[in-house]
Amino acid sequence: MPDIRILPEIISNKIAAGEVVERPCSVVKELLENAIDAKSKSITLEIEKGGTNLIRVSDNGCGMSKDNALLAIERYATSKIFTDQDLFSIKTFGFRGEALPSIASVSKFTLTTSQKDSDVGTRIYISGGKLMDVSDTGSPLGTMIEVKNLYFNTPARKKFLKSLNTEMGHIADIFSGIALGNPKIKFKLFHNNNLIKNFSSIDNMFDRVLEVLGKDIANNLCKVFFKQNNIQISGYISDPSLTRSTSQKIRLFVNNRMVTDKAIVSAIFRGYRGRIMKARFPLAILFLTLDFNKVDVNVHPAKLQVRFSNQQDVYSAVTSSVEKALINIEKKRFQPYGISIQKPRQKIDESLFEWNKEKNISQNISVCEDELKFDLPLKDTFSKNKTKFNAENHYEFNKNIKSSRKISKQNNPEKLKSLFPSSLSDFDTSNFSIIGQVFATYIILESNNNIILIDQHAAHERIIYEKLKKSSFSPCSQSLVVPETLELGLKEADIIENIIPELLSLGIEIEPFGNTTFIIKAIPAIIDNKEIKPLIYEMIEKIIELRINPKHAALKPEWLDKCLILMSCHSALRGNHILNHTQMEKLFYDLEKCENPNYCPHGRPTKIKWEKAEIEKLFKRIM
Amino acid sequence: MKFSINRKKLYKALSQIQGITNNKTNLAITSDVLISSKNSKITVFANNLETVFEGTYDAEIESDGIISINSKKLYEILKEYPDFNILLNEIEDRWIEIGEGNIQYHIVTSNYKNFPEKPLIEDISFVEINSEDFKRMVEVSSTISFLIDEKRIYVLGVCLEKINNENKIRMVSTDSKKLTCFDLEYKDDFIIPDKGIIIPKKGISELNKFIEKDKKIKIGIKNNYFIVKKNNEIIMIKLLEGGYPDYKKIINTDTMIPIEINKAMFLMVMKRMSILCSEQYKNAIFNFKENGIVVTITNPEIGESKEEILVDYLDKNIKTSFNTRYFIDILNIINSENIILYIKNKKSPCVIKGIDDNKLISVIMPISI
Repeated sequence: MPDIRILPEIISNKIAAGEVVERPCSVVKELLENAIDAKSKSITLEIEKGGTNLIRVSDNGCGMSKDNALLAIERYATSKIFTDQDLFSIKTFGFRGEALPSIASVSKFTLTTSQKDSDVGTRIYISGGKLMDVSDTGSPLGTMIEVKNLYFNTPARKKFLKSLNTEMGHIADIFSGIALGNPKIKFKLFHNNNLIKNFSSIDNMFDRVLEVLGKDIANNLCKVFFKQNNIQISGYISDPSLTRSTSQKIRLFVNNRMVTDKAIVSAIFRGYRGRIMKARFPLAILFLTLDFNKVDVNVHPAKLQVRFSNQQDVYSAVTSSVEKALINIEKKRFQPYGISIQKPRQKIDESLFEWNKEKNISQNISVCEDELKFDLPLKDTFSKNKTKFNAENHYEFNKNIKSSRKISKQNNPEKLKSLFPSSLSDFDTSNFSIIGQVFATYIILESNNNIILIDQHAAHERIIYEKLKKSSFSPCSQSLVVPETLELGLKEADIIENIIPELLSLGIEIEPFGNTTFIIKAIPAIIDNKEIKPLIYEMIEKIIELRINPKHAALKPEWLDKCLILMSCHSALRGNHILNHTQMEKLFYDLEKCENPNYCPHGRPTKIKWEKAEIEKLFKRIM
Repeated sequence: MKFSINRKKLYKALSQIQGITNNKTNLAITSDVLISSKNSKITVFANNLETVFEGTYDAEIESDGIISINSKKLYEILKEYPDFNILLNEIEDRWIEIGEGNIQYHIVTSNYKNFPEKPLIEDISFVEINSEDFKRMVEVSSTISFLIDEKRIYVLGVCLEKINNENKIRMVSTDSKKLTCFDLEYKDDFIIPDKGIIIPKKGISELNKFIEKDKKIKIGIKNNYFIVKKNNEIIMIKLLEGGYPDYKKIINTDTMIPIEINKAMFLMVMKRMSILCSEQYKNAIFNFKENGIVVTITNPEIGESKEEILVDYLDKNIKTSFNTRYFIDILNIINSENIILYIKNKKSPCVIKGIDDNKLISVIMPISI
């Protein structure tokens, strides 16, 4: 065996460079972050040939003294942390002290820096990790780093670089990402001496966001702001109608550090649940601000990943911030239809059934009577009238019932109305009119200068889904004369055994029947004319697909939700089914009562809209 | 082929088979009817691979032959044709001329050789059966229907079986949510396999049109077919294969509490209740208590309703729930002024019998709330 030796520094730097300086954009990231850490107010990035020829970052930050500059190019030399305590609450972007020597080891590296109150600046030139020259030089305040001929001494790495445009694209992404995270600093980006990006320090966040995501989507963005337990989330997300096929346009910043974190992305997804389709991605720029000591950035040298000490809190905060923002925007969107959202009555007032009990009737009526006499607020009368009723002569009271009822109806219709369930008549129908149905699948309606097409299956699915979801709605289950048998595999049997109580709460009564056989004794009444077995199989498949252990109580909402979606899908009205006018009206009315009427639970849109102007344009009435 | 026949006679035969020939199958020719003429009689066949009809009628035959002609079109022509007799004449290969004189049709026909062969069934031991009762049996059993996608054999078909030690046959029909059970007496020896046979409901509804109350009806089972004979006409229904579930436990009322009630009144209550039913809320709550049943229905989208029925009930309180539509369906087929509802507990089904109708037992499964 050959002897074991400590590697010379030049080699270890090259090894480190493999991780830190993966491609030109990593150099850009490291240098820009250094410049920000140096408290610069203005940073200029110049690139030539996608960064392979030249990367030059100049800032107007604090600069370095000659000694510090020489130290900076040593490995593990940093000004950003001092003690191991600092490592656990990192406030700066860098802290490892690896970047500069790593970059210097794979390029022709020039560092020019000048401090305040210092007559001359320092210029250091390193080639392939070897210090070639240190000299005094005249320079403006701040630091300028030039990285030339990147990877000139590691031809293998150079070979792996993509085309100039790709690399430049990555650089521009990183650049705008960092610019987004630091709105108070001026950023300029030149490529081959052309100014291609310019962020001035007076921009507001929204402008920078548009700069990054594209200006044409300004109308599709919704603002996110959320604060809870020291976690603050702000930023912008796209409304569900605007999606992309990749997650590239999701930018995350944790304490202004740009990170990529799959768990946060999936938390965002959870927020969009039921609004976007599978394999589509929203656009989002989210800033998470939390205590420095709650974030561990020391995961990977590139610092693109972070760990949170209170992961679940962070993820659920992200989810609810997204949900909230979407609900807000949806509320705003569908108000123009002029439909007042009413909370359906959660529980049936049993007292309505107690007609023959005198006490109850007389109570209600005496309220009305009291109001007539004294015009007291309702609450007071209630307590008052009880004693009053007892004291009153019973006979006389009954005599009054009829007359007082009449009067109260005339004089106090609103109060009386509140005693009875809300009905269709409350629905403002003046703003829309149903034109009809096309292809036996879509309902067309006209509303406020719009043509709206509604997919009846998607809409009905949404209606049923929300009904099922309400905790107060417990589906009745229809018992079967002949229980259906389910023959399952071992894995499926194991799952179903664990979810029997939950299925019962959905109205599906299942009992084990020995080994992997189960019998279905009762099925939800709302789907009692549909085949039940395919639904159960699909439910089990979904749970398997989600890789969720149903024993895990915390994950219950997630798979139960999937089951509800399946159930509503199975029970919903299909396409190719002719509806009459009343049915369509009812469907539309029910849909608009939903919390999220715009998407079916799978995320498909329930309705599409054409504005009158668009149609007039098509007919060339307006040009 | 050329023959002349009483129009009404042929029209009646054709009207009985429209259900068979309108049933879409993979074979286009099953929507045809096969007519053959021979020895001063014509024979009419229909066959949709599940149900087969054969009828023989007197006719004036000029020449023998066989044609396969669209059943619906022939039926419509016969319906509107004004004369007493109608003439069918094959004028050239596969062209049929219908009518004579002022009214004439030329109808293209199919190649009769493609017509599915009729099952070869001989030596059927028929047993005569009361046609009125049998018609009702068939009517009752077709009340419980099935949906297009249905795959369960016991929902697709009805079970016909012998009741042990009694000269009775029983037809059971269910969709797993309700069940009817109709018994019928017979005299002669009738052979049914012990486990019973399953007759498709589609065929049963054809029988409904076929059976006439005032005509002798004979039934038989042979070679996997259920066969019904009426004079010169015969229907053969291919049986479904599979076992029929055990329903006897569910119609056993030994341990149940009987409640006598007027049928018409109860039916009215159910009709009033079902006004508030919708797709999502179809069940009413039945509160059985001393001397009464309180029926309530709650539909948050519409409102609520309550009715109290006075009955002779002294047992424990039971709160259960049923689909009111099922009650309406069942009550409509009971021939009795008063009925008995049997219940046991909140999870038990409701068994319904007519006091003056000992042939029919019905069951409605509860909805748990």
